[in-house]
Amino acid sequence: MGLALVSVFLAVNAANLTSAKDQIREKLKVSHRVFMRLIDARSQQLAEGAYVLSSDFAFKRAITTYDSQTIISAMDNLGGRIGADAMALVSVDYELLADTLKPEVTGEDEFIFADLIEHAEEEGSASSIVQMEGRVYQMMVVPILAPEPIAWLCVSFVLDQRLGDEMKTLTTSDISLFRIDESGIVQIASTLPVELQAELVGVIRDKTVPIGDRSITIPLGGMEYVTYKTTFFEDGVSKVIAVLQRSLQEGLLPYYRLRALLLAISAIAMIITAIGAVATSRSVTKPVVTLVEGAREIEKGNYTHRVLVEQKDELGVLASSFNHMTESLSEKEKIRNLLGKVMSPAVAHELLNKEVTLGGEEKNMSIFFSDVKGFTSISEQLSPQDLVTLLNEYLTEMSDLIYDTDGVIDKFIGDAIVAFWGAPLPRDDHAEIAVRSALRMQRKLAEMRAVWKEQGRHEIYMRVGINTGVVVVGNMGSKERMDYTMMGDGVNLAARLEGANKNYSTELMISEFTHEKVKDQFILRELDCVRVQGKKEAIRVFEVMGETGDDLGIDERFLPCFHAALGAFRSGDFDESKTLFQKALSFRDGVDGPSTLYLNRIAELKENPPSADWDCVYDLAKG
Amino acid sequence: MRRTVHFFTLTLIVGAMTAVNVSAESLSVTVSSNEGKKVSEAVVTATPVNGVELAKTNQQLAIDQIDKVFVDHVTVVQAGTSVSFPNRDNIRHHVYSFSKPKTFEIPLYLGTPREPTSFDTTGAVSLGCNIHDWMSAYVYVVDTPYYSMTGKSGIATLELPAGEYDVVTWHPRLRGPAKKTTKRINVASGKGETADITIKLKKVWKPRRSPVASRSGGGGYR
Ligand SMILES: [Cu+2]
Repeated sequence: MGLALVSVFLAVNAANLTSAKDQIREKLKVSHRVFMRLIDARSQQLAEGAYVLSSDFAFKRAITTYDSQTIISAMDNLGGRIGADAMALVSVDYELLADTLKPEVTGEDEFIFADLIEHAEEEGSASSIVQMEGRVYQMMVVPILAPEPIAWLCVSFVLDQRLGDEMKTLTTSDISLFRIDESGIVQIASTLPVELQAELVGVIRDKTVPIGDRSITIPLGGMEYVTYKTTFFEDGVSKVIAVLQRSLQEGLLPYYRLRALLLAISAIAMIITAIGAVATSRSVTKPVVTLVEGAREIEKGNYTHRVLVEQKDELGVLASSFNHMTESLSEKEKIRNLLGKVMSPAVAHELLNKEVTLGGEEKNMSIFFSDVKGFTSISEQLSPQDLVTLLNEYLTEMSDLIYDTDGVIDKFIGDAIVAFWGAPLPRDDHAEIAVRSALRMQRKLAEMRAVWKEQGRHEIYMRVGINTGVVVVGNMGSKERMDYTMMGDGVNLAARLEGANKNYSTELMISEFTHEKVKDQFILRELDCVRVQGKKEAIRVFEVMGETGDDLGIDERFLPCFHAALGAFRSGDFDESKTLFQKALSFRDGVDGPSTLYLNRIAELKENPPSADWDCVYDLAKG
Repeated sequence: MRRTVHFFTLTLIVGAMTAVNVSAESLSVTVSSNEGKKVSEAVVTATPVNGVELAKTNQQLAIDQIDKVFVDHVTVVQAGTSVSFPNRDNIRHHVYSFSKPKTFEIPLYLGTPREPTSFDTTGAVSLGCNIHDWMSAYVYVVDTPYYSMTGKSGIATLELPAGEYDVVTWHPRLRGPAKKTTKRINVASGKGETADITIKLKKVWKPRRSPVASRSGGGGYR
């Protein structure tokens, strides 16, 4: 009897403590993602502001006076427009022409952040975190174009407590920012109580405490803090780190209350047992046995088990605490299952705040299918170990890009990725985002191929199909094991498009339904009019070549020529069409899958002229 | 690209040159980048070392704007040359330069501005248009009649009398001052001369043409 109580107490205690700590870590992780997003958004905003200022024509005129006082006063005026805290103008020979922080400078001194200008010369702009006059700034460097760079404008925004406080409101975790260089550690901002700030600096200085990108618990002011460090800026000389923290004590408060209650009840029960009061033995023994069984079920990982004790006494309270605990454990399990699929915090939030029930709803979404070109032959040439490594590298990078844009990965099928945009978070621009993400993935993959090539490894090419339409999405499966997934004709079409890339030697094909939504944002080429097996109506399909405004490095006459050729083909004018396709092909140095395909078709059609009811629709072969 | 440089006083110049070049030699200069690629649009100038007094010019040139680009990307002129900027589009342009050798501005105008702009100081002048960020052109002002520009082959050929010359090379993307490229070359009588010059180029970030215009592919928006 006594043993049973102790066992209940220990099981509940251990499970609760782990659950509470896990929850704190999970919250800290979310804080970290929110923090990184805010930093990104801020940088972007600052860069845009700097660009607007640098293109002010009146300011360019002021620069060519080469009078530093005039330039400073013009910079003060401009900086006010976007709330910049400091501005400097540097000549193309790296001389500091004017600086709002040092009005006495007249143009002889060398600019101390010359490496930043060098970087901007290479990349078009530069951003860094620098220390000036004892304060830390985020500095953006942009060229003054007239129309080639005549000077560099450095726009700086101070990083201070205000930023820290703002971040704390948004992430609900304590944030401390530090700049570290060889001369030491400077605290930029901290939302911790003042008396703990110095202590934290000490901990960071003490290299034996391994604060890293895995959360650890460190003592501060007699309390335990779960701590997560992230470096969000680093150059050769210095780095800026953010330390995100949550107090373990605060997080564990509910747990301590429960433990105290448990201890008291256990003690009372022991006393009662010791007295051996037979009268009460029935009402104590049975619920305690029930609780022991419950504890064993949890040990086995069965979080759906609930204990049934209907007494209104302390044991009843204990039982309901026990049930609450298992509930929170199963909640956590649920979170883990969902988070495995949807890493984007916004999407996770949406899912967690909804009752998870079986069943689907109809939603307009964009569906994405991808696979690896020639995967079977690749897998035959590589050892299983190398294959897994290659595939994991590929899938990790690709899924990160999907998560980054609030996409949901439905499943991986070997080398294939199935994903969608537009659910559970409804958004109007899902088609655009899906296509843009796919382009980004292709670009990322090209970068990866360059690395693989250097390492002498296999290079992977990816084929993508995207369709937009109304499909059923929701939690499907059984009550115990459900998946957030989708089904419908629209899903099948996306899969078919992905496979159809083979015929045209293309890498990114979309349906006319997606095309309708994205035609202004991307450079698209119409490929064909196809019919999916078992369907009546024909569907136009398109290749996405790039984003509008992208320089594709293709002769600009190519696309109009190709489309004209396609028009001639469809109107049955095969001679004209042949000439135009050959011309289009010559614009791409003879390498263009679709043009070649059409030239073959024309040769065939000339051999066997089509019947009168020819509708130039081709059957889409099964992927 | 179509060249539309107008030689209003063409006969005058040719007349002056033939007077000097009684027995013209040819100097052929090949310009390469330090990455080993042949450089086109590089300006090669030759100045006689013995400081021969060179005749002043009263040349007149035009740099047209058609379809929102400067038709000539690089134009070499002798100091003292007047250049006009005829706008062939039916929208206004606002040509300017903030370069030290010549700072000027022709605010929003249609047609050909009444007064041509005179380029009197040697050096590179970078031209832009205030309302079309991608429009860019250069006027390179020299003080010798012996100059030429490289074509795709990277070769510039100069016709000049035999003698000793300081040969200077300039390019819109040249890294560092043009003076540093100076090479002393002796052009012997009756044989001609060849030379190889290597220059360092820098990356230049330029605004891109706005997508609306490029999408319409040349028609309908002039
Ligand atoms: Cu213009």
